[in-house]
Parts: sequence; C-alpha cells; structure tokens
Amino acid sequence: MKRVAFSPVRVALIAGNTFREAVRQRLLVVLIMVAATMVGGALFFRDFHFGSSELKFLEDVGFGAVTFFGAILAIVAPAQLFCGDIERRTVLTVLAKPVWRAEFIIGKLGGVLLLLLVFCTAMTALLAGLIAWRETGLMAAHPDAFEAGRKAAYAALALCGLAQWLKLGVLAALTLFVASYARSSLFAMMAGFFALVACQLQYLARDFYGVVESGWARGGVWLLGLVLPDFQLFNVAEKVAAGENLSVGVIGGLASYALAYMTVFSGLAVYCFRHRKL
Amino acid sequence: MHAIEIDGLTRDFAPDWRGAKVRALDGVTLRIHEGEVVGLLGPNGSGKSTLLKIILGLLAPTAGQCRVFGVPSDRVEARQGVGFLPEAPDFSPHLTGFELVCFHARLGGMARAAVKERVEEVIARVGLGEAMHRRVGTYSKGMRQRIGLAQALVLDPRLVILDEPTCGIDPSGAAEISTMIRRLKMRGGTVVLSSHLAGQVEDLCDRVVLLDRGRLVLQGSVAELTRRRGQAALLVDPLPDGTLGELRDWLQAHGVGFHGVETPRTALDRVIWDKVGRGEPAGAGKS
Amino acid sequence: MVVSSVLLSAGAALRPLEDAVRKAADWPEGLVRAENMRAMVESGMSMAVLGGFRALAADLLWLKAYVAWAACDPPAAQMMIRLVTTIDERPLYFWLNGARIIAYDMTQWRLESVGRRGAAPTEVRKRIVDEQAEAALRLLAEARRHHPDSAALCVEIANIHLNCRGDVASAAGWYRTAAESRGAPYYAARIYAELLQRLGRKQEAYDWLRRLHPTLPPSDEKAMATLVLGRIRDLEGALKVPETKRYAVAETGPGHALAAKD
Repeated sequence: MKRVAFSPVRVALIAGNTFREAVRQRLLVVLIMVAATMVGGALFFRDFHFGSSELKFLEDVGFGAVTFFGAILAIVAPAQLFCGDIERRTVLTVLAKPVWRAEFIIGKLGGVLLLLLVFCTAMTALLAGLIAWRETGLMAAHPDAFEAGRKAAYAALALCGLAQWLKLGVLAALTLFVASYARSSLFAMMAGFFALVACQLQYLARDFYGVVESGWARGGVWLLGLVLPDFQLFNVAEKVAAGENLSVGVIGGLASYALAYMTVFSGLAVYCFRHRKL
Repeated sequence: MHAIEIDGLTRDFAPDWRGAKVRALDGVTLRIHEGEVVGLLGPNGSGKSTLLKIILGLLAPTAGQCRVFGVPSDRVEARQGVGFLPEAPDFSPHLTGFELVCFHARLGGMARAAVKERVEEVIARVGLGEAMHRRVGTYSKGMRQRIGLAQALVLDPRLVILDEPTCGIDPSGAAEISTMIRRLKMRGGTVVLSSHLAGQVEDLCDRVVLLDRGRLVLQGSVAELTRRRGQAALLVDPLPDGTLGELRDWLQAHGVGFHGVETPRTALDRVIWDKVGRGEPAGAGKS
Repeated sequence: MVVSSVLLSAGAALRPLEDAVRKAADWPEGLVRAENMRAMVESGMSMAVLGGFRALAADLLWLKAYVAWAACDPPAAQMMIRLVTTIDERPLYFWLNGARIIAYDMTQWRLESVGRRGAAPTEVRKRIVDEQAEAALRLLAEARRHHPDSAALCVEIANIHLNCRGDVASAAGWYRTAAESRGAPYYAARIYAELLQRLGRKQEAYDWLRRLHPTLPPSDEKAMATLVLGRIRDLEGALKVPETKRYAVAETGPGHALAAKD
C-alpha cells in the first residue's frame, strides 16, 4: 500500500474549505459588518476627541475596532469551525480518508488565518481610505497646516494591519489549541476570551515579579509570565498614531514572535487532537 | 484476501476521572473477506460504533490488533480505499452538496480534472442530481444521508463502512440505499453495514456478526443463521375447503410431522415501497 | 504535563526575542498597572481598554472627570484624571488640564470647605495650597516621563511654582527649560527674563535677552521683538551699560543671530 506523507495540498484543501465555510456563516459575516461599521463610525466620534488630532484619533479608534472585533473573530471562528466539525461528527468523514490529524488541525488554522487576513486587510484598507478622505478635506480647509504634504503615514498603517493580523493569528492558534481538547465550542470560546485578557495583561506578571517578596509567589508569577505570550507587544497602532515610524526590525521581530507562538500552539493542538477520542 | 482482520480487540473507556473502566469491546476476533457484505448487529452499547471507529483508525484499541487490507488500522495508509458514512451525518450547512463531495474527492487524492465529472455522477447516482448546487442546510434528513453516501462512494472505495445508513430515512430512500449496497456488492466491493434493522441486514448481507456488551456472540451467513433445522415449508395457492384435513392425513401417513398453517407475509417496507414507489430506485441496474 | 512543559519551554526560549522586540520598539508601558487595575475595573472601561479602544475609553473617562469636576468632588476628579492619563498618556491635553484642575480648582474647593476666604487659619490654607500644588507637580512630573521634550509641560510646571507656591526661582528655572525646548512659546523666554529681574539677577536677564532678540522673527507678532528690544534698553539703563557696549540691532534687524555686537 502506498505510503501517505504529510501533504500541503490536503492542508490547503482543508484551509480553503474552512475559509469558505467561515465566510458563509451569518454570525461571522455580521461580526465583520459590525467591525466595518465601527471603523466607519470613527468619523462620528471625531468631534469627541480631546487631546489628539482628528487623523490620529481616527487611526486610534479605527484600529481599536480592528483589535476588538478581530479578537472576537479570532476566538469565535476557530471554536465554531473546529468544534462544529466535532459536534456534527463530520470530522469522522474527513479522518476516515487518508488524512493526518495534523493536516486537519493545520488546515483549520490556515482557514482561520486566511479569514483574519482578509478581515485585517479589508478593515485597514477601509480605515486608510477614511483617513485619506478626511485628510483631503482637512487639506482643503487648512492648507497652511499641510504645507509639507500629507501627514498620515499610510505605509505604517499597513504595518499596523500586519501586526494586528499576527496578534490575532496567535490568539486563533491558542483558541484552536483549547478547542482541540474542549468538549464544546462554548468552553473553547470562554477559554479563548480568558486567554485574551490574560495575554493582554501578561506584562503585569512582570510587574508583580518585581514587587512580590515571597519566594513561592515570585516563582508562580514568573511561571505565569512565561506561559503566555505578551499581546502588548503587538500594540504598534499606538506608536503609529503617535506619529512614530516602525522599523523593519521591529516588524520582523514581531513576526518571528507570532509565528513561533502559532507553531507552539498548533503543535500542542495536534498533540491533544491525536490523543482525543472521537 | 481479507479486507479486515481483527484479533482479540479490546477497548476500555474511563467514563470520568474517577469512574471505573467500561469495556466497550472485549476480545473480538473477526475476519471479513474482500467482496463480502457483512452486517454488524447488536443493541445500543454493544460496541458496534467502537468497532467501526477502530477499523477506521479513529480510535486506538486498548489491546489486540486490527488490520485493513493488511495494514494496521491506526496508520493513515489503512484508510486508502475506504469510504465511511457515519450515523446521521450533519454536514456543514453552508456548503453545497457539490462542494462537499468535491472536497472529499480532492481530499482522497482525486485529480482536479476528474473531480467534476465523477462528483456529478456519484451525486446523481444517490438521487440528488437536482439538488447538488443547493446548500446542505436546506437538505432533508434523507438527503443529508444520501449526500453522506455520495462522499463515501466518490473515491470508488474497496471497503465501504456504513453506520446505520437508513436511519431516519423514508422507505423509498432506504430502498434506494439498499439498491446501492447491492450494486457495490455486485462490483466486488466489501461492505460493513452496522444496523439496528435485522430485516435490512438479512436482506443485504452475506454474513451477520452479532455483538453484545462488547463481545462477539454470534456470526455466520444469513442462510445458516435463519434456517430452521429439520423443517421445510411449502408455498401453495390458497387451499380449497376441506383439503387441509386430507393433506394433513396424507403427510402423517408418510411419516412427515405437521406443525400448522400460516399465511405468508410481505415485509411492511416492501408494501410501502410498492404503494409510494416511483418505479425502480434511482440508478438501479446502471452500475 | 506535556502541554505545561512545552509552554514553559517556549516561553523561556522566546523571552529574549520578546525583550529584544520590546527594546527595539521602545515600547510604551502597559496601560493597566497593578496599582490602578481596580480603578479601571470599577470604571467599567477595562474591556474597552483591553479590547483596543484606548483613546475612546480615555475620552469617556475624561467626561466622567468633568462630571466630578462639576460636582466639585476632589477625590473622584483626581482618581478620574489619574485613570485617564494612565489609559492614554499620549494627549498633553489630559495632563495639562488635569494638573490645572488639581492645582487651582481643587484648591478652591478645599479652601471653601474649610470656610470662606479668611475664615480658616493661614497655615491651614497654605497647607492646602501646597498639597494641591505638590499633587499637580507630581502629575506633571509623570507627564514628563512620557513627553520629555514638551515645552507646554515645562510652562505648566513653572506656572504652578509661580502662582501656587510663589517660588520664583523654581518658576524661572522651568520657564528657561521651556524656552529652550522645541516648539516653545515666545513668552516663556520673556517671562524667564522677567523673573530673573524679580530675583535681582538683572545682568543675567540682560544677557539672556541679548541672546534672545536676534532669534526672534520680525514678521511674527507673537515673538514681540520690539518689546524685547525695549526691555533690553530698560536693562541697559538700569545696569548703566556704556554706549559702546550696548546692544545694537543689525541692519537686517532681529532674526539674525550674529547681529549683536559685544
């Protein structure tokens, strides 16, 4: 009998199928629409900003919407798409074919990453369009303030979108890892949201490490800080909104960090899924 | 050659973190030959689904061995040439039937160029030609079962494993599926059919395997198992009045024991099929 | 066990990369720190902040700070100002207005609470003014950690030293720091000279203004080059500077650094 090797083609097929399924799910489509509305809605908040300039405020609120709704998408999509297959038992028909469980997990993650890439690209493009439109209006109204040309850094905006995608990818991989042993999609989603908050606050563990005196507590806090990735690292939108440029080194470092964690979480998902009773 | 070889298969489950082990399969040994249609019978909890999952490599045995076409079932290679229809499949409602079967065909290694024609052919054969471009979410339970069968058959597998294939399907749909199983058998395919319906198994299978509480308690050909030893039955036209006594006297005179008279019955699903049937089941006799 | 080991190993292996990225990007500190976590949770803004709506959450909390300000509630207003500046440290607006509320408005609220003007003993009144000034200066010192080059912050610190504490020397020092920062308002340099005179350091003030005048653009009214020149002349009179040593405006006028002759 012919040996069946790990196949990127099958991974791509599963990823494509997962993506197609995701874009047809009403909940996910509604989520994307709400996020787009929120990015567009940043315009209505522009009179509400106190300290920052209008364009920076738009950038901030727009990327806030991408982060917030992207995080929901990165948690809900893998939980529903993976656990849905388990709950509906359709995973049995896939794995009854010459398909490795690792191919299934990586394919699922690939589909979700593709969904998140489309989401981040579309939202960043929408935000960039919005900022460009407002900037054109402001340039006409206050030409003296724009003597040196446009102020918004569109290339940095694109890098922000990339950083958001990397962060959401790590979150999706983490949720998929939970889903690989979770009994229900609800549990996977709850755990995903908990992990999101924990990863956002990972740096607090470092704070406490510096403060806590007890040896055991210090050890515990040190371990906690070690187990989770630090999502604060990906908040580059703030730097860009503040007018700072991002170096290629920073983006490269972030990409390596994100890819390493995606690999770790998907590896753990494969490990758990291989031992799971179906 | 054996399609499936099972030796001393045992599988234990721990129901919860402190519970005692539950033995789902207990030393099952079984051989299924290529080209055979085998019915797997047994009450709920008898171990049928566990046995099927081990054959498909979805579950590892606690002890014993299972080989599919000579390859240990836990290896991915063992699943080449295997088609599987799970019980009451509930495929993604967002894909069309065509997309679903295409996905499974490509996943099984079918060349892209051949997929469209083959998928359309197999979907038409299960009677969903008209509905193949509709989303699975709009399908009835019976249609979902049929599209499940299409995905199981699309790669033209040597071994087909069907778990309760007619569960929840109307008699005409059940008859169509039965026809498809017969066609598979005629083409030399091996079929393992898990069912609650003894009548269906009797109708379709060469051999029956009965499981109870994880043990294989009975196996043999349908003819062997259903034959009443030392008895014979005659089917005759309705007897005119008074002839029954004469017949009984004659039989006794020739030393043949007489046990009674029964009116032959037709299976109810056959009656329903004759009433509501739309001619021959779709695709019958076209294999 | 396997999962924990892998996560720990991955964390340990990736820690250098994490630190390198943080260092390379000169990352801002986390929004939520251990000490203000409770306040953030109580304000109901924690999810918004964690979710990414940092600017929006800060703006909403600033409105809450205004509500506390309108209600003349010093603890609530102070807590909200602290929270807003913690959540979004980027806009100077929050720091400057927060410091003014703490230094001036809260002082008034507290003075009124101890009795109408003149009713409370002088030392009590002084203590209140000093406490509020200290609190405002602490907030501005924190602001300078985030905006070390901001002239506006230096001006605000100088104002508080001058108006609340009556500390002319400190105020002068901060006005000078402000005047030497990029984007400083022209008046910072003028006030610095003014304060030097009040401190009796007229020669210093004269030297400062001589250096300042050539840098002032004549076309910018706010620069008030003529006024500065007038002050120079006044100081030359007061300091009895000989005619030959007096500041001479070059033909090209102010705005030319080499115009002065010594």
